[in-house]
Amino acid sequence: MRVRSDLVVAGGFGGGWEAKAGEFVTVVDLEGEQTGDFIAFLAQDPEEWLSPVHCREALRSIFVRAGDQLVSNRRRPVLEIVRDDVGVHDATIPACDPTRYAVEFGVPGHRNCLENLWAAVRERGVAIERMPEPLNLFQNTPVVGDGRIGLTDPVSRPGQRIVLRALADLFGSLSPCPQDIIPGNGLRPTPMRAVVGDGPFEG
Amino acid sequence: MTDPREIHIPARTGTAFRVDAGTTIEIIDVEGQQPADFWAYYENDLSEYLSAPHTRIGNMKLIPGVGDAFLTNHRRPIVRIVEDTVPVHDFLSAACDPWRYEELGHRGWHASCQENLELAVSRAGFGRVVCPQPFNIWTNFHLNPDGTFEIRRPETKAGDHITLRVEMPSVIAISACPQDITLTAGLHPTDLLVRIR
Repeated sequence: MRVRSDLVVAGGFGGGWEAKAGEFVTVVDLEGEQTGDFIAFLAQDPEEWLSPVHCREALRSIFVRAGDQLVSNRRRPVLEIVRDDVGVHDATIPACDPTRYAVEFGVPGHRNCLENLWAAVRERGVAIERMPEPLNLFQNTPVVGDGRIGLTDPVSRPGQRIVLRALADLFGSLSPCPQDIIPGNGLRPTPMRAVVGDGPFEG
Repeated sequence: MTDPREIHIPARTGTAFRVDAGTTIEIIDVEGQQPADFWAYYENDLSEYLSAPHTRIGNMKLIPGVGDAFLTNHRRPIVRIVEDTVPVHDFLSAACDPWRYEELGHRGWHASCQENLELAVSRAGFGRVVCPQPFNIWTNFHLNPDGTFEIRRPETKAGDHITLRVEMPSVIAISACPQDITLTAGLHPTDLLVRIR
């Protein structure tokens, strides 16, 4: 495959990626048990973005899986899941943010996904009205019985990956979640790799 | 305190109004089987709004119930459910919008909850707001054990109601969902009544 970009993002930090329509974005959990908050914008118009709420509605499911086409806030397909080693992702809860750590855990100044997700937006120098809700790759948010949800560690093992095919020209961010206080990343933020190229990354 | 009043929302339209903390908002399904899309924004900063993802993690459940608060994107309680005669709602789907009707094969303009929100908020003089995922009151979301779901006809009958208490000074918007192609509003959009006190 021809590689456009190959980015290793340190655990707890954020990085930007971009892909042309038809290219593949492979996200690898390098050490296992790591959630990656993921956002994508249309290159032509960053007010259109991958939208978990519209994905749920289009898929008629609260979970995403291999073969699914993920849609934007304007209900157009923007990414397709072509390979998924893990099969457990979250499309219902928010990025961790400064309030989560400062108020709920008493740790002001903690690194957080919301600020990490600005990486791609800053790199491109575009203005956006609001940060979209992320798709939380490998995040394990089981739904039990009567609609209660759990938060537990990912089941991803080292080297497992998800491959997304871009259906439009896109850019976005990946944030290997810095959560180290409650389960979510095996209590240890670790790096992830995002490779963009003309095929799925197999390395 | 906010003056008590009633607002009649004609079928397929929306309304927006401001309320003080402590105000209760009763929404009444006048004829039955009519969903109400509901949004709330912090009056002093409309970029802080009722956020479905933050509410889900705050309550650790998919859909809030009586006594639960809805949280903003800054994780503060903005609205709480105090009474609910038909606790069957949707908190996982987007507002209907022009793209939804296009997807359903409709040609030309169709009223939508997103447009109702935008028009009601701007006509009431609050300017422009984003359209976050609403609380879709009485949209009959049925979750299957495998995570798939379907939207069925609402279970409400004439006079069913939900009462919400507002926890911070807010701009509230409500849309009588104009969906007439799917079962969401029982194929027959009707009016809503709102009592503020």
